[in-house]
Amino acid sequence: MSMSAPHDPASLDSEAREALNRLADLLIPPHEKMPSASEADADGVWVDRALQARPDLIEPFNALLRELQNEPPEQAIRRLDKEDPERFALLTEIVAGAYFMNPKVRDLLGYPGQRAIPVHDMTEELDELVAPVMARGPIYRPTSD
Amino acid sequence: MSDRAQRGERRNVSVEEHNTVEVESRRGSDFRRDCEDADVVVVGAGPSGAVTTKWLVEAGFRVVCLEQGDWPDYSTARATELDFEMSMGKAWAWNPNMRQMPSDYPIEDSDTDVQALMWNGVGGSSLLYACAWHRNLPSDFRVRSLDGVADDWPLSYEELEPYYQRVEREFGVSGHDNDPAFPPGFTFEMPAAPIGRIGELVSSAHNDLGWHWWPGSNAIATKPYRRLKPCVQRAACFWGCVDAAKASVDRTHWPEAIEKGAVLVTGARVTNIELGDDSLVRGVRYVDRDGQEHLQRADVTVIAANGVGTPRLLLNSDTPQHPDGLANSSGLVGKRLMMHPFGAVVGLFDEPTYSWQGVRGQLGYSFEFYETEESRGFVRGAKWQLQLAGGPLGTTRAFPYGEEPIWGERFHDEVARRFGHSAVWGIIAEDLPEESNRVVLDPELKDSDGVPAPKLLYHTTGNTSRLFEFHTKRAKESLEAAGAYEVIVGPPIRETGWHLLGTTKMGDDPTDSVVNRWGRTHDVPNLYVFDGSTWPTSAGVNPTGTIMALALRNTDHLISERNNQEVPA
Repeated sequence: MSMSAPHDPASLDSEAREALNRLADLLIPPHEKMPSASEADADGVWVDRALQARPDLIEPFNALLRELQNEPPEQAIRRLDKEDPERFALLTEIVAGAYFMNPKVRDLLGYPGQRAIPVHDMTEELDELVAPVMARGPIYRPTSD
Repeated sequence: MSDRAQRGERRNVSVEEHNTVEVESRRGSDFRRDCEDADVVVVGAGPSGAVTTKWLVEAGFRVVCLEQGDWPDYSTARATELDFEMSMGKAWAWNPNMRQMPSDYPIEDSDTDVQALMWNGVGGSSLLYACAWHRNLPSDFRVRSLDGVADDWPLSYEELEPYYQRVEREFGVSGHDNDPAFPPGFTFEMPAAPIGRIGELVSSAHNDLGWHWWPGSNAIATKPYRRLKPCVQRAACFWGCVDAAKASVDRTHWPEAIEKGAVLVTGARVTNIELGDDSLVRGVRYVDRDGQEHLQRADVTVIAANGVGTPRLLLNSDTPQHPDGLANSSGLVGKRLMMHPFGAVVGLFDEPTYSWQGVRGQLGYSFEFYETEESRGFVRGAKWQLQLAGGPLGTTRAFPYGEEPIWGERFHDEVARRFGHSAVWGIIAEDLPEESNRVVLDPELKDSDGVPAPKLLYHTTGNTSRLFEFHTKRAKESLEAAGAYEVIVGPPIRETGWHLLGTTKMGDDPTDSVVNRWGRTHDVPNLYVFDGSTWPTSAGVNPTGTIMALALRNTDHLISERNNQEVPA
C-alpha cells in the first residue's frame, strides 16, 4: 500500500533511521485494515514531519535510536520498556505521533481531526435534563448570617 | 498619587495616543515615555493583573504593568494541523521547565508530588487553562467554622458575589442558570455549550442515581460576545484557541485596558521590590530583554505573579531589615502552597462518544461529593468535571489510560477501544494548607537574569489519599451507571499543578497572615498581593473565577480608599 507524502528534510541520521526501521513495526504491527508503522511510512516521511513539530526531541530521539541500533529489536524494546520508561515513552510518542499524522491512517480510524462544529443553544433540552436535579433542591451549605 | 487618580477622573485617550501606547506595550525595552512615576505598578499580566489594571485606569490611575513574557502568538497554535497532538508538548506546553521560552524561569521541582504549571506572558495562565469556570461554594469560605480544619476566609461568598457577577459579565462565561449547588442567582450571559453524547450518558446516569450534575460552565463564548467569537468545539482550549472563542485576558481585558491608557511593558522581568527608608515601597526593579536594569517607580505596588512567582519575588526582596523577605514578619511567605491534586477516571463505552470533539473545558460537572461527610474518613471534597479524552495519540499515553502495555499485537485493538469511545471524570481535590508545603528560593538554580529560581516542596497528605480513594470509587460507579463496560482509574501524575494557591495567606491577624482582607500586606502599607497566593484554603474548584473576583474587589477598595493610601513622599 502506498501512503507516502513528499519528503521533508530528514531529521534522523542514517544510523538512527535504520534502527527506527527495525523497531517501528514491533510497536505498531499490521492489523486487519490498519497498516503497520512502516506501511504508513511512520518511520519515513511522517517521523520527519512529527519531529518538525518537536525539534527539541530530534537530538534525544537520535541518541536513543543510535543506542538501540546494535541490540536485537525485540530485546531493545523489552529492555527499554522495563528499564527506562521515560525514554520508552519518547520512542512510542514519536512513532505513534508520526503514525497518526498520516491522513490515510486517520481516515481508517475515523478521525477527521479537530473540525469546526458550530455550537447550538441547548437550553430547552438542558432544562428538561436538569429537572430532577432542580427538584431535589439546594445542596449548598448556607453560610450567610 | 497623581491629581487625576486622587480626583477619580477617568482617562480618555485619542486613537492616536492609543496606537502609540499599544505599540509601546509591545516593545518592552524601548518603553520610556510618561511612566517614570506611575500611580500603581502591577507585576504580572495574567487574570488578576489584567482585572486590576483595567479597573484602575478606568478610575483615572496611571498604571504600568510589567510582564516578563510576550503577547501570545496564536500563529503557533496547531489545532487545525496534522501535527496538533504531536506539537502539544512544546510551544504551548503547560510546564515552564518543558516549554523553556525566554519568558520562563526554571522551577526546581524534584521534591514535589505535583509540578507547577503556568503561562508566563500577557494573559498569564488564562492562556493554558481549560476554561472550566466556577465560583467557590459558600462553605469554601468557612472551612474552620463548618469542618474544624484550616482557616475561614476573612470574607464570605455573599461579599464576593457582586464581584463574581461583574467579572463574569466582563469576561464572557457560558453556562446553565441556577445550579442548586449555589445560592440563587447564579446566571450566565451565554447559554451552556453542548454537553455532547458523553454529557447525555452521564447526566442520565446521575439522574437515575439521584446524584448532582450540571451542564458545564466555561469561559468560552457560545455566541458573539464582546471580542470573543462563538466556540466551534475544536477542543483545543489548552493549546491556543485559534477561533478566538476562549476567554483569556489577552483578549478580554488587555486591549481595552490599553485603550484606556494602561501601559503594558512586555519582556520585563521584575527582580525585586524596592523598599524606601520610610518602610514604604518605591516600586520595583526589572530587567528588560536587552539585559538593561530599570526602576519602575510607583506610589503603590501590586503583585499578581501567581502562587509561585509572587512568593519568589517577596523572598528575593530581602533587605538587612527584612532578612527573610519582604512582608514576611509572619514567616508565612511561600508557605501553605496548595495545588489541587488532580485525578482522572476514564470510562470506555461500546457506543461512540466522539470524545475528541467538543468544548475542552468541561461538558458537565458534579458537586455530589463536594462537602464534608464525616463517615467518609476525610474532610472536604472534590469537584468532578466531565471531559473529553482527546485524539488518537492521547489514547496511547499512560495518563489517563494506565500502564497496561499496548504496544505490539494489542495496539490497534486498544486504540479502537479508547479512541472516540471514552469519557473522563477529572477530579479536582481540595488540598489543605500545610506549612511544610512551600515555595523557597533555590540556593543554586537561577533564571536567565540571575534571579534565584523557586524551589517547590509539596507532598500530599493522608486526607488527600483517602479523598481520592473515595472519589475515584464513586466516579467509577458514575461511569458504570452511564454504560461504561470498563472503567480505568488513571495513575497519579505530577504534571497537574494548574492551580497555584496559598503562599501569601490572607487574614486579619498580622502574626498569622501576609495580607489583609483587601490584599494589602500587613507589613508594608503600599504593597499589595492580588493573585491566588492569598487564598487561606484552596476550595475544590477551578480558581480563576475567584482569583479575578477577588482582584476586582481589592481594586475597588484600593480606588475607594485612594485618599487614605499611604504613599512615599
